[in-house]
Amino acid sequence: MPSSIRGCDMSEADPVTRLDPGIPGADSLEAVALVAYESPAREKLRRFMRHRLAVVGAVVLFIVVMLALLAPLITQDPFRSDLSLVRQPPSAEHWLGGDLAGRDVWSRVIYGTRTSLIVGIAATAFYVTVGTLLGLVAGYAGGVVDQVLMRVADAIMSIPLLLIVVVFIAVIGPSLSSVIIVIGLLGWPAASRVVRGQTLALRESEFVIAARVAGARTGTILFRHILPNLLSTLIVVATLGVATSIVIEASLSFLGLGVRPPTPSLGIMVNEARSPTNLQNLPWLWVPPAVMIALTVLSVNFVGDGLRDAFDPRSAAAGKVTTTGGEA
Amino acid sequence: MGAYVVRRLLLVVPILFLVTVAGFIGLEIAPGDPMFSQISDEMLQELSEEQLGQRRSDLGLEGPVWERYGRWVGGMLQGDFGYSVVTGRPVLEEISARAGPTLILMGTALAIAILIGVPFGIISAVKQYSLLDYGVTSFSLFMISTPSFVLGVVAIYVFGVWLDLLPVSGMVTLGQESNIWDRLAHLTMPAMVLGLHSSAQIMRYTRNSMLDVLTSDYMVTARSKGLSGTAILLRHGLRNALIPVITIFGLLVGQFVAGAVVTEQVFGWPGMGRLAVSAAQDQDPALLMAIMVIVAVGVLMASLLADISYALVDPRVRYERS
Repeated sequence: MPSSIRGCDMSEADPVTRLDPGIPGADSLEAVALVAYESPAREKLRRFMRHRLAVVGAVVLFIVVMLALLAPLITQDPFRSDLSLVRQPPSAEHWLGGDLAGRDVWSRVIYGTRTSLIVGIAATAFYVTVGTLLGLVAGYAGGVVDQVLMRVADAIMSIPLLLIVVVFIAVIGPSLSSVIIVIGLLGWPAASRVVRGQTLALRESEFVIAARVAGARTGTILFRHILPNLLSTLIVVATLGVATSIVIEASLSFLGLGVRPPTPSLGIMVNEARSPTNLQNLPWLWVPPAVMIALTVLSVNFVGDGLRDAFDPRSAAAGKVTTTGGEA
Repeated sequence: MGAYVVRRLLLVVPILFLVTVAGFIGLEIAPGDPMFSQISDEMLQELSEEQLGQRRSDLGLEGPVWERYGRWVGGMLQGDFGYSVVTGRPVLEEISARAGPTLILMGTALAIAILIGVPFGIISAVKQYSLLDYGVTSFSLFMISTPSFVLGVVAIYVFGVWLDLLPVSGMVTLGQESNIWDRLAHLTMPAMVLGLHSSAQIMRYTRNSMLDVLTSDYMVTARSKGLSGTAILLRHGLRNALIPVITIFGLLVGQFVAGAVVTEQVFGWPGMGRLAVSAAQDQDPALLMAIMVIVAVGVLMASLLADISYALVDPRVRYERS
């Protein structure tokens, strides 16, 4: 029962902790039964493959990533303007035609996808790392440290991510790196909540108590004993986080507050073509970038959903509250 | 219940404190000194050292950091949010002119989101694994994955350009006497885009909540007592399933704000979201920080209301303590 919602945590214990303490090992019983005839990795892979949409998502995502990686081989110069290409419809030589400045649209879409993926991965890696560290500290230390960190998290989460990012981008000035930094610095609360909740539960588990009794240092306990148990959760959080970061970058660039032109960005491309006459007469300007954003985010979300079901069998059955990315 | 509300209110205080501190830091590190923003360079040269000092204190820019912070927060409590650097008008004036359109847009969109999200979420759970369920879940995942500006642009193309049914921008047709139909026509597209986009979350949430309830012990009991399918569904299922859905509205307000920022920009809707974007483009710190604080207060109050109404309908919540 979600008695707490984003922004204001009413009860101090997260659902995970509330379920767990009385019965240590309640989780592992189920796992043991399954592991008896199949290795955990194989079992996870099987569960992921069973999720058909997740497999489709993984394939599409693989293609998108390969296109972005191989950009220099399969495209022309995305910055070069050619006056004879201005507003030209798609042709054999220029697959998606030319834009308002006479640049090759296909090349700009592929390079724009590259920008999206760079921001998505870098910003998410940044905030998941920060969120994990703060969540570990808050959950393990408890007391005042926990209180302060969680109130800061509440404060950040009381403002929609897109808006708070807009505010801080305005203060430090828009650019590719400031988009990454601002999402990275303001995105951590969601990740740290999850990590904190699980750390609180694991702190009282027998193997951690055993390690403490054996005289292990706090750092060792946190990184050797607790962190590995959080990995599957973190992979899911990070995957869905990439989707959110990509949407935020695209929206910011669309609003003129993200990546600066002439750097190719899918959001900027849609924005440049959004007058009704251009929408009607030059569809090759806005359809490809719009489809590319939706396709990329959708496949990342499919993969994230599949991973969650694969790592946590209960979520598929019980239909847990989802955190699928894409706030804006 | 009273104790619960008080406890819940007290939790908001430190959060608001941190939000205002963040806003103040933003104001401090923002480029440009607000002191020079409203006077020309020539005037600046003519002013003596004393006059400058006088002006600094008039604008509340002197004294140690904590004193300036106190003045800023004190001012906001009295409705003084400072001046916009760009227009020179009081921030409160700028914002209050935009609040109405935003509330109209968000209210309509919320109604659309609930009317679509809740029924389809329920049907999709009841008929789990049916064609309809796959349709609804795919639709909601698709909606969540498509940024609202893409949705808006597609809507403009389909309804504004191709079918030529609806106006694509603004709140009223310019140079024409505004009537209710004209306003409604302008409202339709932005409200539908924002509403459909948000309905996806409600749909997923309602579906999950309903599925939780459908597999619970009391539903099995009701069925084994021999009650009819519809009676179980409506009297035992629906009533319990909708309770947790209340909490999502606190969450949704934040999403609506984020969605409104983009949607208002796409459709040229003169609301607070568009104000925030232009304030960011113009680097207008006082205006930005005021919007941020107001949104934070709004979101916190909304989630407070959602939590309290949740506690009202579900007595279990009130007794839950860590």
